Parts: sequence; C-alpha cells; structure tokens
Amino acid sequence: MLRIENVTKSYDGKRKAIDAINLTIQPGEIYGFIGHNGAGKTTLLKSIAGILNFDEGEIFIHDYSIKKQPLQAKKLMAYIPDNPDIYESLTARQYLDFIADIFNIDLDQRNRLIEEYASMFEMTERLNDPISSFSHGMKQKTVIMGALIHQPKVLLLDEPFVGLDPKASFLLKEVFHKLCEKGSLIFFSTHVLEVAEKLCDKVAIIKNGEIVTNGETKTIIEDESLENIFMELLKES
Amino acid sequence: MMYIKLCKVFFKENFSLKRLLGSSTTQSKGKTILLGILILYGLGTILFSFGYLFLELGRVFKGMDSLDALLTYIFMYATFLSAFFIILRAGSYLFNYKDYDFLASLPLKNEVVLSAKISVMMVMVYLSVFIVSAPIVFSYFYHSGFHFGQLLVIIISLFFIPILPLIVFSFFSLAITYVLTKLGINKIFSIILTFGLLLAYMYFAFSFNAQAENPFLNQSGFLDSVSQYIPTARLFQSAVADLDLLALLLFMLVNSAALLIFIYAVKELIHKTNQNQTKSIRRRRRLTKFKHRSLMETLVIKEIKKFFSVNIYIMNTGFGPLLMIIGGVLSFVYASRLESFVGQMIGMDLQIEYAILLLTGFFLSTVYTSAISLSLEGNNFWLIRSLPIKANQIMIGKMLFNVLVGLPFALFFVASIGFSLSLNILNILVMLVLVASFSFASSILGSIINLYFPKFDYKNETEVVKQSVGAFLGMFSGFGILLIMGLLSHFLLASLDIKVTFLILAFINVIIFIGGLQFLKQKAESLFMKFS
Repeated sequence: MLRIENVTKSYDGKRKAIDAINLTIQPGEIYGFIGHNGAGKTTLLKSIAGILNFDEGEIFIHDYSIKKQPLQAKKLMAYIPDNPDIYESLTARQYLDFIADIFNIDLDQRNRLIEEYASMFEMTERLNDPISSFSHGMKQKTVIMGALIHQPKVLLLDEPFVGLDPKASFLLKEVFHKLCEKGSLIFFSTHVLEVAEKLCDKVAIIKNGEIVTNGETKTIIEDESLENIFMELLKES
Repeated sequence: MMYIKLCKVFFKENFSLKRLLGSSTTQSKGKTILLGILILYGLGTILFSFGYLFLELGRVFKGMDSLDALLTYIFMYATFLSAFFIILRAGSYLFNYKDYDFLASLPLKNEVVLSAKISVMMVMVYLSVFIVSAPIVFSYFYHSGFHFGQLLVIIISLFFIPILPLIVFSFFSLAITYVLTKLGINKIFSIILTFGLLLAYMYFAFSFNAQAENPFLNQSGFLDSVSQYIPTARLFQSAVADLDLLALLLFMLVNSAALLIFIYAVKELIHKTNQNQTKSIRRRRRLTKFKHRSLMETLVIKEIKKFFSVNIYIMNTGFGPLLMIIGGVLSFVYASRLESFVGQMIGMDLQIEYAILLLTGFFLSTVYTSAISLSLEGNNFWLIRSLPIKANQIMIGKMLFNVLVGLPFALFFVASIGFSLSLNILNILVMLVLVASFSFASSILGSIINLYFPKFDYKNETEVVKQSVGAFLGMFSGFGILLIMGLLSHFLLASLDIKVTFLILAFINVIIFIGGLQFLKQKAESLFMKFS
C-alpha cells in the first residue's frame, strides 16, 4: 500500500510545488495522476521515490516511512523517470545485472526475468549492445525492464508511455495488469487522458500543487470524457 | 559489496576507451593508436621536462645539504594538483551529479554512493599526482641512493596526501557555487578565482631569484615553512626521510579518520545539494533587447556565451590569453630587466624575435577551442543541424571565435614586448602579420580536427575539453605548425633577412588557411551527415 499523508513541498520557501497532498493507493490498483505542465506531478513522484525531501507530511510504502526507513521502502518500489537517462557505456544486460545486484536477485531468477522481459519488449537481440546506441524508446524499455526485475510492490512511473511504440505501450499496459494481479500497485503520471481513462482504476487531478479531484475513474467521469472533466476542473479552480 | 559494484559502473561510465574515443576501439583502430601515441607523447614530455628540472633542483638541494626539500615538493605538488582537480570536479562528481535521480530511487546508502563517487573523482587526481611525483621521486633517489622501503612509503603516502585537499577544497568549491548562486553572480567570479589559484602556483614555481647566488633560496625558505607549519607535511617527510613507520601510521590514520568524518558529515549535505538541481533559480534579469544580427555574428556570439558558461572550457583554453595579457603588461613594467635578460639570450646566439614568436605560438596553441567546440554542442547538436545554416558556416563561426579568443591578445603580447625591447618597427609589424596568419591557420586546422574527431556523448564538459582526441590533436596541431615553422626558419634565417623569412612563413600559413577553408566548404556538409 502507498499512503501519502499531507505532503507539502516548496522549492524556494514561498511557492508550494505540492500542497497538503493526501492519497491512499491499495495493492492491485492502477492509479493515474493527471495535471498540466508544472502542476507538481513529478515533484510528488520524486518525493515518493525518495529522490526529493519534502517539507511536511509523511509517505508510507507498505508501512515503511520514506523519510525514516528509506532503504526498506525503496526495496519495495521502482521508479521510472520521464527521461530514461541511464549509464550509456553499459550494455543493456550489464545495466540489468547492476540493478539485479542492487536488489540482490539470485542468478536463476534474474536470467529468467531478463530473458522473459527482453523477449516481451523485443530487446533480446540488443541486450549485449551499449545503451548509447539505443533510441529513446529502447532506452525506455531498458529502464522498464530494470524496474520490473525485482517485481516491485509499488511501481512509480513518470509519463511512461512517452517514446514507446504502440506495441510496447500495449505490452506495458499488460505488464501493469499482471503486476496488479500479483498484488502490486501502479502510480503513474500522464498527459494522455485517453490512457488514464481506459487503464486506471482511479485517477487524481492536480492543479498548481493541489489535488482538485480524485477517486474511481468511472465515478469521476460519469457520462463525460475525462478530457472534458479535466478542462472544466482547470477552469473552475 | 555494493561499493565495488557502484565503482565498477562509475569507472566504466567515466573512463571507458569508448567514451574517450567516441566510438568502440574495434571500429576506430586508427583513433585508438593515435590516442595511444598522444598519451605516450604527453607522458614523455611531462616526465622528461619535470625529470630534467628536478634532477637539477636535486643537485642544488644536495649541495645545500637539504635534499629532503624534494619531499616537500612532492607534498606540495600533490596537494596543489589535488586542490586544482577537486575545485574543478567536486561540483559534477559530488554536489550535482547527473545520475542523482536514478541512484536516489534505489535502495542504496548515501555513504556508499558518496564513497564510490569520491573514488571515481579521485582517479584523475591520483593519476596526475603519481605522474608529476614520479620525476621528483626519481631525482630524490638519484641523489640520495635508492631504498625500496622509502619508495614503498612514498607510494603509500601518495594515496593519502590528496585526502585533506579533497575535504578542504570540496567545501571551497561548494561555497563558491553557493555564494555565486545566492548572489546571482555569473561564473566569471569562480573562473577568476581558479585562475588566481593557478597564477599563485606559477608565482611559487617561478619564484626563484635569478640574480642571487642561490637561485632557489626563496623557494627553499617557503618549503621550510611548509614542512614546519603543516603537520601532515612534517609527518610525510619524517616517514620517508627517516623511514619512521610510526609517522607513516599516524599520517595514514589522520587522513583516514578525516575522510571517514567527511563522508559521514557531508552525506546529508550532498543529498541536499543534489536535490537542489531541480530547483529553479529565479533571478531578476535585465530585459533582453532584441537585435538583428548577421548569421556569422550570431554564431560567434553563441560561441562566446558557451565559452563563458563552462568553467573547464575557459580554464583550459583561456589561460594562454591571460598569460599573454600579463606578459604584455609586465614587459612594460619590467622593460629594463627584460632588456638585460634578452641581452643574455643574444649572447647565447638566440634571435629575440624568434624567441618571442615561439612563445606566442605556444600560447596560441593552448587556445584550441575550434578543435572541441563542435563536440561541446553535445546533445544539442541536432539544434544547429536542423537550422538552415550550412555546415561550413557553422565551422567557420567556430574558427572565427577561436581567432577572437587568441589573436588580439597575441598581437598585444608581441607588440608590447617588441616596443619594450625597442625592436625594429618593421620587424614588429612583420611579426604581427606572422602571428595573425598562424592564428588563422591553427584555428582552421582545429575545425577540421573536430570534424574528424567529434565527441558528442559526454557526461560533463571535462571529457571533451581535457580528455578528448580532438583536444589532444587541437593542441598538438598548433605545436606541429610551430615545429615546421621553426625548422623552416632555421634554414631560411641562415640565408635570408628576418623580415623576408617571417613573410614566407606567414605566406605558408595563409596557404594552410585557404586550403583548410576550401576543405571545409567541400567536406563539412558530408561529415556533418555522418554525425546524424
């Protein structure tokens, strides 16, 4: 479970990037996080991942506080940034091995998972190539494979579908569902409202650092499209 | 162990041959061989020139019965080199590393990441410390007699000497960055500060008094006070000179303890400074006035802005011009001393005009911006490539910028020394023509070198400015032209007037320049296509 309690973060002491955010995401849920540019999506995701400190509040990952028990919390999660900027001198296999080492994955399991995900994302032939030779989409696939290798309980993704080809996007959605079936939860930010509408069990809409609405996707959109709701909410608040 | 795993990845990311060459070694055997030759040449130059200098210095110190002063030299050089590298590198290796987001999201202890980052940062420090110390150590053993135990103590100590500079100058580097960011001062201040440090070192290195009976008297006094007032220097000296193992143990303990305290004390600070990378600093800026400029003017201005925005770029390629300004001004102030010095040189059968030109050529060769500025476009190369500008225009813009950085200062340097020494006005004019032609020729060669040896995939600019094949070749192409000109003038001067000789050399430079320009017009576009 991911529990965000009253989390506030400001960058310059004045402007609040996120303001008193409260969210609870249960295992098995796919949770979409929607907002305009600069709304605070990445700040919240990075705060959950332990990359950014926050001023107030608490974040718990399966009861581990990211502030007080960061190592235990991070062992349970994986974060995929919007820009797959990783070690370009390594080959994809070396990178995946490095991640597997950090999470202490035994050799049999890591080999099985690397083969499985590489085959799924059509990367088998490129595993021994340096990451510097990859396209943006291939780098993104490598980062995703790295994030999945330890079967995280909490998967955080910042704009995960940017740069992925349609097949890889489809496969990633399949992976989301499979992980959720195993009891993991997915929390991701997106600009693509259609994806959020079709994929997410729940969504939250953020504007200027504050959550303006959240809940089950079906309840929020009722008979309208998520795009209309989103535009209305931006106008209102 | 996680530390080892991190180090392996960081080393590969920072020092793989592929990163140095920009392509794999199997794909570019020629580049690998060339780089190997250049590294050997550079190493040879350092080892032989330093070796000769310190062998002589050792002889003088031995005569004064103070050979142990060489040990203080080792300590001082190791400390200075460490300080210099750490000021330049602490920012990108410790306080603002680019893979922070990635590493921070992983279950890794801050102190483990920090230790691995420090280890990688120290590789270049240790490399330079060992290279520069080797000739001094050689001189020490040459004059005192070789002792394996002492050599072992020196090698062990060299691993520990850079630790205190690491601690002190990391904070210094952070403080500069913090103050500059808070005050909204641009990078010029930190550049001036680093230049100041370099000049202070040079002042120390050349602070011998040529008039005195013992030319190293000033330095000797300074060295005595270093070993007297810096406890670790004293411990190092005792450990080596007296083979005092207790002193060595104490030396190692003090430094190790300081490093441990440093790591645990700053791990949270480093976590914070790295987080602040994402912080947007809002400064009150002057309103930009839009102006219409010609294409070439725009390209050159872009280069100027890049030059002043990258510390390592200005430090490495701007030092020659700075020395030329200082040299030019000092030549007026110390005109009479310069004249007497030149009198001695003429007594040694050395043409003064030739010596001035050689020195100017050397300074100009250190301004190798055109050999690296294309590489410095890095990930933004697509931007200039997508604009409706011909490839050769881009390269000419970069070449003109190179001329702009070096030539005005070179002209000032030559003219001021020429007038201070009351040289023949016609000789001065011809020298100015030769210097101008040399500047254009070496600039265009630099542009061509960068077209053949680009390096776009770098993590920080240091890789391009200090470690790329383009940088090596850019500097050595200038030295190469100098060598050819030196040989030519040696033969021409024997039979021709100095003015005619210099004009012939200038003419050769003009031919090189025009040839290079034609080459750029014909080849730049197709070479650009290969980068895409």
